[in-house]
Amino acid sequence: MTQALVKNPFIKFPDCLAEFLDDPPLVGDETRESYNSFFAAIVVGLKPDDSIDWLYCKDVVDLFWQIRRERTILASVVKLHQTEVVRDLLKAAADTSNALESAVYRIFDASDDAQRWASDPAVRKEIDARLSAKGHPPTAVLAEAYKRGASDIDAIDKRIAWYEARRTEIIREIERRNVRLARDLDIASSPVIDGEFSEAAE
Amino acid sequence: MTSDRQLTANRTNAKKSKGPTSISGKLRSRKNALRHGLAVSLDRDPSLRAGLDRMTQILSRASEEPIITLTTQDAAAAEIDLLRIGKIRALSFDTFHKSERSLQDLTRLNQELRKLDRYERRAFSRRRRALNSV
Repeated sequence: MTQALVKNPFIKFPDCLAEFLDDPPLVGDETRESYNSFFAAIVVGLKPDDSIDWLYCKDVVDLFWQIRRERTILASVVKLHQTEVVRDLLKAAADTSNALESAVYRIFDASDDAQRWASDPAVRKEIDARLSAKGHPPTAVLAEAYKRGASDIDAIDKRIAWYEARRTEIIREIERRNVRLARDLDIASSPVIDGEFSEAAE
Repeated sequence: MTSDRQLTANRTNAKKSKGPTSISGKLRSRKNALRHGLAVSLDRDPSLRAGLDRMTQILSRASEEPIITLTTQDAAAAEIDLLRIGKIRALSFDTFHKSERSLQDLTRLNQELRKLDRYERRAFSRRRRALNSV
């Protein structure tokens, strides 16, 4: 998230909650500025009314944040498994005319080539062409990577689904609380309004 | 492979052990089974206890209760747990980011997150139940 969601990402938490909300647990290259910018955007949308609403807002922000982290991990999982598949295919496709060279390549060089495939686009293109010629196009490599990483991918997908369900539930809870607040205000203010009108009638 | 003689000697020596003797060793071994500390009651940690008291006050004021109820205390404890879980989860991700990000590191991360999810689901349900009744 490189672009700020709101012009001024400064966010002022209620004083009593500052100690709990002011120290977001950030990871890697995540910045405080982008987190606050995101929080400010959510606050503008959800309009927290009291401390409980603020805590719910933090939950919503953290869940969005968590989903973003999980998606990054998901991309890493696929890439890791793709690299592994490429390594295995390179080993299997090694030139067998020279037994010694082939063995050296399988033991030492195939892993290095697979790593270069993952990090260098030029090498990737060259290896993809080599593997395609042997009947392993990039789509087949990707499919095999998904197959191998199925349990990891499934675990991440389940977590993302759970975070999304929780986020929806919290947003509903904030709405429910606001509806209740509006109803309570209506009930509390009715006698006052009725009283004013009856006094005026007398 | 360990020989039978070595195995017997190892077992005999192990039986003689009385555990760590130095203060630092005892302090270290005390934390052997500690993984994330989420199973520890908030009452047992003074800093958490102070945070819990402050959160209880905040929730009680927000609910406009004349006195602090057990339900509010439950909600506050669940909230503190959720905040702790968020921090521990970030630590797990941070460890993964700083690692070689191999498949083994990923498996470890998944295992840690699975355990945390269990605690988080419970804390989330506890807070929802408590906040709905205040």
